Amino acid sequence: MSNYILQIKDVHVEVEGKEVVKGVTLDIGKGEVHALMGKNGSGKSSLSNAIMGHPSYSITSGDVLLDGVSVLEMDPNERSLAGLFLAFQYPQAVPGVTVANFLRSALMARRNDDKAMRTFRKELYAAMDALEVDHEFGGRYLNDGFSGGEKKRLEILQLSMLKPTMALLDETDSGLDIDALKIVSEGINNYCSAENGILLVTHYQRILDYVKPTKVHVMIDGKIVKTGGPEIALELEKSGYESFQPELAEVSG
Amino acid sequence: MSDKAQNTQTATELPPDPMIKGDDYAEKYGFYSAEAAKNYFLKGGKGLSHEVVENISRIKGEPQWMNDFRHKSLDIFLSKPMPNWGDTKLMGELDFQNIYYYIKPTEKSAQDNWDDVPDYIKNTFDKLGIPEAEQKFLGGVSAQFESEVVYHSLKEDLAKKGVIFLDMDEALKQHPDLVKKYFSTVIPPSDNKFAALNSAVWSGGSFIYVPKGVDVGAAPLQAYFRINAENMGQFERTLIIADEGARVHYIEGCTAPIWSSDSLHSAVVEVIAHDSAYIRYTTIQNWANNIYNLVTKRAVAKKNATVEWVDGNLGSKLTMKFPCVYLAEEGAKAEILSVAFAGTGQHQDAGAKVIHVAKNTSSRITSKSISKDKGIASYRGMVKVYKGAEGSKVSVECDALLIGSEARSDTYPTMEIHEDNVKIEHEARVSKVSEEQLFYLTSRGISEDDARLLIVNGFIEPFTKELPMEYAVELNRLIELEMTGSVG
Amino acid sequence: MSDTTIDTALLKQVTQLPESRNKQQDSFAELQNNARAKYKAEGLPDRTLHLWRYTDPSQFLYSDGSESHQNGSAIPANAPIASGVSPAYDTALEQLNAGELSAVALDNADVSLRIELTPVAIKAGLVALPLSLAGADYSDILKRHLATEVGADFGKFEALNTTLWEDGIFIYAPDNVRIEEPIHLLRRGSASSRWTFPRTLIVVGENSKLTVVDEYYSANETVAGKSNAVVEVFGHANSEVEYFVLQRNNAKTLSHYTERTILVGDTSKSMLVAASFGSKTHKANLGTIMQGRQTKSLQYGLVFGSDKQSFDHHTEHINRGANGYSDLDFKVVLKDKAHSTYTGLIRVDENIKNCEAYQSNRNLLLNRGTKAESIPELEILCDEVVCTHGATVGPIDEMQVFYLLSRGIPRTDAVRMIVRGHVEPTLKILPESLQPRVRSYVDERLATL
Repeated sequence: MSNYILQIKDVHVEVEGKEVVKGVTLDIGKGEVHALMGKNGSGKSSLSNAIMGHPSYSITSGDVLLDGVSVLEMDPNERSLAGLFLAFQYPQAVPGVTVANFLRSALMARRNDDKAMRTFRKELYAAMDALEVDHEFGGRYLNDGFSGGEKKRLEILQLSMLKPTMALLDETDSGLDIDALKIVSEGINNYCSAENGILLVTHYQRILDYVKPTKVHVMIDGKIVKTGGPEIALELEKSGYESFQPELAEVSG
Repeated sequence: MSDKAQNTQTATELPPDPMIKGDDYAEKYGFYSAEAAKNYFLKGGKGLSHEVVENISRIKGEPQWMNDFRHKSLDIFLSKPMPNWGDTKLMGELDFQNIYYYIKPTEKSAQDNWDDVPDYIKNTFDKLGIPEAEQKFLGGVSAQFESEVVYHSLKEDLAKKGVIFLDMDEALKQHPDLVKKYFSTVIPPSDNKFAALNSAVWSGGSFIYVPKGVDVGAAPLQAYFRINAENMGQFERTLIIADEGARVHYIEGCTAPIWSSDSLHSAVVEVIAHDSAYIRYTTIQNWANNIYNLVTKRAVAKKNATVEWVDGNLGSKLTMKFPCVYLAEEGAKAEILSVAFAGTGQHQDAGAKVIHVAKNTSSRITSKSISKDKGIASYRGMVKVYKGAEGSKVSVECDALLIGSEARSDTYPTMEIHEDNVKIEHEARVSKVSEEQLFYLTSRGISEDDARLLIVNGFIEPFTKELPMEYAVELNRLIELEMTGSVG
Repeated sequence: MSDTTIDTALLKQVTQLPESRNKQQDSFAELQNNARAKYKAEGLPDRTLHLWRYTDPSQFLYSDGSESHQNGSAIPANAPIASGVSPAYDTALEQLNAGELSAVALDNADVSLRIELTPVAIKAGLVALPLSLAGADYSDILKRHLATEVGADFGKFEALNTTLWEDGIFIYAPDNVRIEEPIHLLRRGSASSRWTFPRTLIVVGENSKLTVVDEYYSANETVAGKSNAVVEVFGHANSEVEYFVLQRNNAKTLSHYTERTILVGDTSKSMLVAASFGSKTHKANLGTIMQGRQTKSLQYGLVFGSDKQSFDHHTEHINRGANGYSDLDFKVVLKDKAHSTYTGLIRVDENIKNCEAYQSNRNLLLNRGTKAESIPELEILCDEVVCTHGATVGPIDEMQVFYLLSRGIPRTDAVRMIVRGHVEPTLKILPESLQPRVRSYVDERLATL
């Protein structure tokens, strides 16, 4: 058994017949927080959606291992039960389904035991309080009419309740004001432990002030062009993605 | 409009009927050429019979199969009842025996040089600006006066590539096999009563064949249909075939003088887009308000082909027209975009039909209608998805604008969906010009009339932006005429 | 309940239908003779028009021979209603005793019509009577309302109901009578496969309020029942009426149902909720005529079809008064080989100022083999309006499924959740006394995905 929670091995992703991820390799070990940074359209969201098994994104070659086991043959719900979690950039609205019922079903799929569900309401309220989410949210329809910030908080609420081993957070920081960003970051930090891993997909350096990455990867045009420590994020902030462009030319040339 | 004196020279004996349409229409389109009428080569009597049909066929010297087809179609017409839906009142006022079914304006067949067209006909088209438009941007022109096409032309380079653009009668003579192969394959005479009528007495119309891979798209081919006589029936027949990968844009325009009694325009248009072909068919109909315009238009789109109907309906007393696309093979696409403007005394009963038979076909229908004063605009639509047409996508959007407390707008969309793996969306809105919008514009110093016109032009913008620039300008002008015409 | 129960068990006129029964209901004789003449004179509806394009009207023609009526009469007229005759009735009686309902009616096609009211409702002034007994005290009310909208002239099959109704239910809230707890009408079909003709008249006086649940079900699971029902609801000035119709006949039943709500008075309000689960073929025509000024009408529809069921619903919103507001939300879920047609009309008459009308029809197709027709129509005859309608047809949104899958929820559960979510807003509107049962009908159909 490897020490890695998630191994992405030379993954290529296609969407609508177009290759958007062109061979990405990435290993995330226990207790590690990796930041995957890139501009819009660089392929970072496609990569995380493909790992979760989104029907529109197909992995055409390469492999993804969770705790050493390939997830590619698994349905999305099996991937979830195996410990994978994706906080969506644009969480889907499901009108008529309340947040509480949805979370109960998601937990039932894990515990499958009425007894274990007795504490559900308590757990839910505790998680809500931690993220400063009003209890009234439990009765609202899933992501239906939620503001951008509310949706993102709800994603992190799910993260804290479902307790996955590997979390992919897709632009969780976008659309948040500074207060909300702090709360969400705290939620992420609370989830962090020596036993799990995080891949933080982001556009901006901002969230990395609150969630300290172990490693930072820069993605341009479907490929990781640079990997390093937190200093890379600062460099990006200062000189922009353009400064990494020449390196891309070297890599692909 | 700028040169009234010149207009009155050729346009004589205008029947006074200011109630039907504004004076501006009379000036620009509604003139009548008495000179042309004097010189008609052949004008039969009114009424419809097998004898009339036989005469039309004999004059044209048609092959036997067409002669048989006409007679068979007349039988179908006589046996079919009038539609029991739509504006049955207006349809009931239509007197089939009070119509001239065939007028041959000149002895000659269609000319390819305007100088050879008799002056008494050419004057009309000069006034309508057809030769000018031809020079500017068209790839080919056909001009029909009453029952016959009097002029047609096609740019040399297109002719060299094998493009055929003829009037239907000439096509039947020059390309009998090609015509026979496709004629009436999309719309059989039994389709509806008016398709049967056209099949019996058709005359003129366009025949277009675009060979494999040829792109006519940049320079549209245009046909212009002109009714001159009172109680005239114009029954052109159009057939457009784009072979594999070919592209063509066809535009038709129509006008007529203002008469106090009714005329009938009942065309049949068949369009066939072979694999990966693209056909756009644009109509700017601007009939006088005594014309019954009952037209059947249908297209077949084969594999990955695209057919677009761009249909502007102004004028006429009653229009019933529901352009259809039959999405016969995988990947076919349809787009139907229409605008209807109904003023007092008018009923625009227009709409669209899309029939999804094959997988992964898609269609989009956008309908914009404006009912003003006592005008009635109806949207009547049919979306049918057969079992097996998996992955079909349909989007229908109908917007109606009401101007005046007596205006009427009806929306009758039908969706028949027999496949589950599809995406069907329909939306309709009916509203009046918003007071807030009016207030905003007038607060900037724009007069209320101008503000209303701006809003109406904005409302149909999705349509006008699809037109060639010259037509967009013309359409906006026509809307302006309609808006400032009669007062409700 | 002895002193609070009005027991009106009646002999139903089932012996010599249809010709002689009018002798027993003299007060309706003229009405019914007229309707009989209309029924006989009128041809079948035109199948080329939208209303009947998808359902064959000939199946609703009156077809019973005399022998089936004798079947009906074989059951003793005043037979006591055994407890357990239907669980729904038992539940309703419990709810009545608990004060959750203000009246319960059991309209048992083969036996009797029995209506019970709570003392509270009686004291408040609620009237609930068999139509045959209502004439004595309420002849004027009947004259002004009964069959004035849905009568001989409405249509062939409505004329048939007007000719042959086998007693009916009259619910009346006189002026200023506000009844908060629902009145529950149970319409149990015949155990023989003869036609039944349930009839209902609801009149809500000025400033009054009523809530009525009207439930149609079969006598048993095997009988091929035939039902032709008519309901008229009248709302006078400033009244509020909520009417819920639940159709859960067995899958062999043929049912025809016509309802009209007439908002006669200014500022009157109505809510109509139609939930259709049952029947082999169900043809329903529901509508609200907004006659008064500033009226408000809400309509909700829920259809869940399975197996080879065929549903054909038509709704209407007719605006005849100024400042009206109407909204309609019609939801359809189909599985197996079920078929649904929905036609909905919004009409705004000439010179009606400031009216708003909305309509939405959503069809969810759970598998191949289902068929849905949607024809949302607008007829707008004046310009002071805002009208919209929208319709969609399609399968469950795969993006929603993926979202739930990504949280570990298995696909079938995810689909169930989404379907329940789709119908939830409609279920939530139902009276609490009805919600658990209707939820269970949804769940029953979702159990076999």
